[in-house]
Amino acid sequence: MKIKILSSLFLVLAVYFSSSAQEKLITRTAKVTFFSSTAMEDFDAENNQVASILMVSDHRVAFNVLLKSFKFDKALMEEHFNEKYVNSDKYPSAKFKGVIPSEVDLKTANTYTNIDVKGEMIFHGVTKPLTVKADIVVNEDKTIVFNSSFKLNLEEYKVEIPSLVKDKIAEDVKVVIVANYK
Amino acid sequence: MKKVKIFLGIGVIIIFLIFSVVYYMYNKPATEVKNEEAFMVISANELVEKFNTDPNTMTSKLLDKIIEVTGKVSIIEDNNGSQIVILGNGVKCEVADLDISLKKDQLVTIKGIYSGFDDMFNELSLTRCVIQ
Repeated sequence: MKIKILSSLFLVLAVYFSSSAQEKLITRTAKVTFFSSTAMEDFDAENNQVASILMVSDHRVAFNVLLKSFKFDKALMEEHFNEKYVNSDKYPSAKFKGVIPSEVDLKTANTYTNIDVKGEMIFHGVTKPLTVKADIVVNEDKTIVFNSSFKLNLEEYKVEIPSLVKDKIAEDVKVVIVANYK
Repeated sequence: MKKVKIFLGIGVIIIFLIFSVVYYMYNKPATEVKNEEAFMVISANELVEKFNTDPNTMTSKLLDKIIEVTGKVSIIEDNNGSQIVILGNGVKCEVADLDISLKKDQLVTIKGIYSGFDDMFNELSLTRCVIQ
């Protein structure tokens, strides 16, 4: 009898731990790209080592983007981006935290497009509510792909662009996120 | 008359030179880690320990500097062209050309640009890394 209770207790614990282990999906290789496009100049910068956590159980998603890890084609642009525009010494990272709506079933294979992910963005010392559109693919093997694309207005986050280069940097930059959670 | 012509000629050459320098500076490609010398050579765990004891000093000292880190590979994450190798207790290296023979627990030396502390997974981040 005792053995039965013990073994069933063990079974319950085993199931509990194995299921809770899968509740949290992570990636360190999410990709964030931003595009600036004006009549004068187009440029983009890429960050391939964005850390992100997706809590399957409570539908929360969080991204941590180190601004120093953005790579530009031109050294001078990278320097100006870090030193003059986003002050990455003072504000080293940008963060987005959002909630995936409950109609998205993160535990069953399916594809969702144009989902509203409501949350907040912390960037350049400014915290603002932000809702982004996302495409979410839940795979058979429980891995999840999260894609999102949205516009970020630099002025809203107090990023000042000197008038000399105003023609070269867009006020609204397009941000694209691609995350493969395992 | 001749003098004016010479002055004009020199002026044109100077302007041309200035423009070429500006153009070169503007279009200069981003740093190539491979051929640069490391500012600091250290083991992964030692770096993490130093950072934990005094994060502010380490950050101001190391930001944008090339450092060479040796440690045991604890995690390899490979994801559509972007590869991350975690050394020791938390030095995250973004490697462009991942050596596919690299294995967990292997001792390896990686050189990259220090780009800060990732407070989500508590890891120090290196970009543009090359495996030595």
